[in-house]
Amino acid sequence: MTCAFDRDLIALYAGGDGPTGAAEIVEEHLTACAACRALLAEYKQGMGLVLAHRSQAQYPHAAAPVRRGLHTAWRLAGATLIALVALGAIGVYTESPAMAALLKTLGLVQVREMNTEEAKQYQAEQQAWWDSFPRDLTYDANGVARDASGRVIAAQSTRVTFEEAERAVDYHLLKPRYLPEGFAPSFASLFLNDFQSDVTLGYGNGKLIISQTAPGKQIHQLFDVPAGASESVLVAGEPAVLVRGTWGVGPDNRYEWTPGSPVTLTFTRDQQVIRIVAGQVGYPAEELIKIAESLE
Amino acid sequence: MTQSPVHVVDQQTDLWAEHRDRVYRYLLRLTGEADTAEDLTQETFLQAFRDLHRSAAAAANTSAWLMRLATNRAMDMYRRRRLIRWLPFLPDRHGGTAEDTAEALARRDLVAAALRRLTPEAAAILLLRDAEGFTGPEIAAMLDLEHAAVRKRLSRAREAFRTEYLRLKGDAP
Repeated sequence: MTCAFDRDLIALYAGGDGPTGAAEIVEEHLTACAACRALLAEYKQGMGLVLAHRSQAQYPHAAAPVRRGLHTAWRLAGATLIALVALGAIGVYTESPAMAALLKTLGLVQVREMNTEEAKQYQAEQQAWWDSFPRDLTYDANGVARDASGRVIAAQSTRVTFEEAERAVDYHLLKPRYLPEGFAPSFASLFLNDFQSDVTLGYGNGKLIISQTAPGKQIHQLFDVPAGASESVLVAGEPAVLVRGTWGVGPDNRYEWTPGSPVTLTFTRDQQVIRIVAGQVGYPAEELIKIAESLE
Repeated sequence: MTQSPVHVVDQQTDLWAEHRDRVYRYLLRLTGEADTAEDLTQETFLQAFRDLHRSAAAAANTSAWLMRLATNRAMDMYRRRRLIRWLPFLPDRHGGTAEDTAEALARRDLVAAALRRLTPEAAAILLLRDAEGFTGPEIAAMLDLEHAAVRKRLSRAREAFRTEYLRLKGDAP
């Protein structure tokens, strides 16, 4: 497995960071050495992981610093804001008048708005699932995750470039003609295994992602969301659904609904499920629809 | 050339509005502590407001200049503390949850843990290059290093991250 070739050069080559002329030397060596090709793949994986780990957090206070004395006051203001957001989150469950479950069906995509009781039960089930989720997973070469006893748990996506993603699938990858500023193409991720078959293209370092399933592969997408979190919209005259918020696990391991973000627009086209996700809180629906309508 | 006070305040406000989130996120990942990242963000901008009109670097590449100030503030803090504390990285609560599947969460823990095992300098270089996308020469200017030294440290940091990540994942090299 080991090779005497300079691994520093391979680590630099992984990100195009090597000195002038080094790329040719590395490439020549890589054609002959499987061990170094594997090493390169691991460096690239690491870079993808660091990129994906990039925080999307926003600085919690709007006011610019002027002098230190105000710092505590800002902290208090921030804490109040967080408390209000939390109250808003509770309101989603307790104050919504939509007590009856609302079923929105559009082809392969189904959204169920839950009433307070259903949401509570859903949250409890998901919490139990998360609590039992094994933390010591190992991944094999195909990206399939297994727990300590070897049981298959989940599959891992592979981070690739746009070009690699195009080569990996035999259908056309939709790309938007319209993209807001700051949303340059940045990464692609592949989920091609027995569990799933979809491709995600990331823009603006993941601020916006567009995923699409393989055509005809009947992946039924079901969203269980609290009452009031979804909205029926039209994309090029066809029904689509917009969801604001997500279920997720916070730092205290509590499975809960975060209202507002991300904003997800889901619709179907040519037997494919297309999903456009914007990470920013309050991302305007019109923008997502404009992006969706420009996909080609 | 003199500038009116109103003009200066406007420029400071713009600088703050445009760059605070990026500086904060970088410091959040670098230190792993939300409170510390907040404090360092404020210190960074207080210094930036003072130096805005004195620094040629500020005009040439504002983000790189701010990251340099932020990195220096963070390294100063570590020197002050002497003992380097790496507390757990907080998962994002808002935004960026596009990948919030269970496997993504499990993997994010591993990435945070692997970064914590690097030296602050190595973590800073990885984050600046591979997460923030600054170029080698930009990072060299930020960290007062020769470009060749940045290359050396970057390759070592990628190797260290690879080793730590595989070890944590259970595929020890």
